Amino acid sequence: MVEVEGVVLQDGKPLERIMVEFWPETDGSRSFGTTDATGKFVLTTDDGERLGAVVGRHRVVLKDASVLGDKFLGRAGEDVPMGTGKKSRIDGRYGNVTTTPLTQDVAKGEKLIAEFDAKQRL
Amino acid sequence: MVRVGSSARRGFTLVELLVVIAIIGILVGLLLPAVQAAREAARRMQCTNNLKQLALSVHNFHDAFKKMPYGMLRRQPPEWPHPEEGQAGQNRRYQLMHQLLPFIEQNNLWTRWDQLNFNANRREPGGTIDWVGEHFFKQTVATMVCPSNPGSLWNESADPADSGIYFRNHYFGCAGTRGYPRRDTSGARPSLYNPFAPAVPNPTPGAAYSALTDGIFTQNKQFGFQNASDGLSNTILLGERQYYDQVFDSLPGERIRDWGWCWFGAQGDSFLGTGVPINFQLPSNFTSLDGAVQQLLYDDRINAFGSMHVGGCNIAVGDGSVHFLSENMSPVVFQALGTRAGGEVAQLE
Repeated sequence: MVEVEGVVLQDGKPLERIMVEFWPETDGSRSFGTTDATGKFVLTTDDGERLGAVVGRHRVVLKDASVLGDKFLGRAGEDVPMGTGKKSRIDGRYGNVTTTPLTQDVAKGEKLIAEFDAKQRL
Repeated sequence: MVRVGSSARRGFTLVELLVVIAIIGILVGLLLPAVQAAREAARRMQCTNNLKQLALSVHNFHDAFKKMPYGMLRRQPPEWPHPEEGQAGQNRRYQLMHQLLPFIEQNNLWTRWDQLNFNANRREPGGTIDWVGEHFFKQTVATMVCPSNPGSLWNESADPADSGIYFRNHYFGCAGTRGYPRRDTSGARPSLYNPFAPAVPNPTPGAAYSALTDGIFTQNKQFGFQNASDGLSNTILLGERQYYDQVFDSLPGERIRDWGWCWFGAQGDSFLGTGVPINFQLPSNFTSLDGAVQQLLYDDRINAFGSMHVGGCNIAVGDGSVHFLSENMSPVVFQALGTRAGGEVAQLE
């Protein structure tokens, strides 16, 4: 495991509330983090127990969490018109591991500082 | 003489007894884990067999109808119009496993279900025992249950207004990348995952929802084997869900075991999605996360393949073979195995 943190920007400005997922192309667990007001995220593993991501090449998936509003609805979220039509600030292609253009190599060693530029339209 | 004789007949000393008991204890201690491991191995084998039977029943269904069963059948306009669109409330409604019942020698259960009037299958709101739903109370079909999963075999809900009492099924159809949720009248949610359709104000089936129909099963539509152009041997057909998640169960009103009722015809009861790593559970820091991120992770959990077998889960692929997949495998490869026509190069083993 290597500690990973970074920023998500759009046109040089930080993007808040973007869910960042690191999907290893080799064996290993997924890691995720969420950007704060300064666009900064810190990765933890899916189980929330360890900081960082596994060593290797990752595909980076970005999801605009603000589309889903800001409340956790649980089961009720299934039938509620979520987001009230709020559009994703980033292209939908970032949200799927097969179409995201972003990759990141995580090398053995000290903490990795990553930077991603997320466009509104790819 | 007397001294010798009495000494020969004396009993064991306390120390000798304790030593013998300690040795027996150590031996039992060595043996018990092996016994438990053997029992789990047997349960896993039974689970493998269940999946094999269900995969074969899908093949038999295909032989009979020239198509695979519906992933689930339920009218949910506007995204999911019913193939037999008619009067509201008069559309057949059931999920994948229900359609397989006649092919696993459970035709009697299949015929007892009122397909047209879903409410007739519910338990009566007052809690007395007249409605048809009561007939299904505590019915279990062993083929639908993985013996390693915890919990009872039927709905434990004490709430009479709850949706019904049907036996639990631990096996689900693979809906491709995402099986749940598949509803969103605002069109916002598909834009999170769908490469081809940014948020659309009035989603139409087939366009905005293409990302939700990339598996071998989907809602209100039957695919045939010919639709699996990635190859049946490289496309996941069925899988199991892990019914253990302390964080999920600690959420108010939520319980992971409440997902997976045969006949009900709800998305989380019918589908799993490979867009989530195997054995995914809600993270221990869940409650401290952003609300929308919580919702995304919650959806992920309901999509997740998994099991209580150590280190992975069983899946059945389209050709009818059953495999054990490690939870440590690359999630990128796992997602590719779930799509029927993704065009990826992903192979089992």
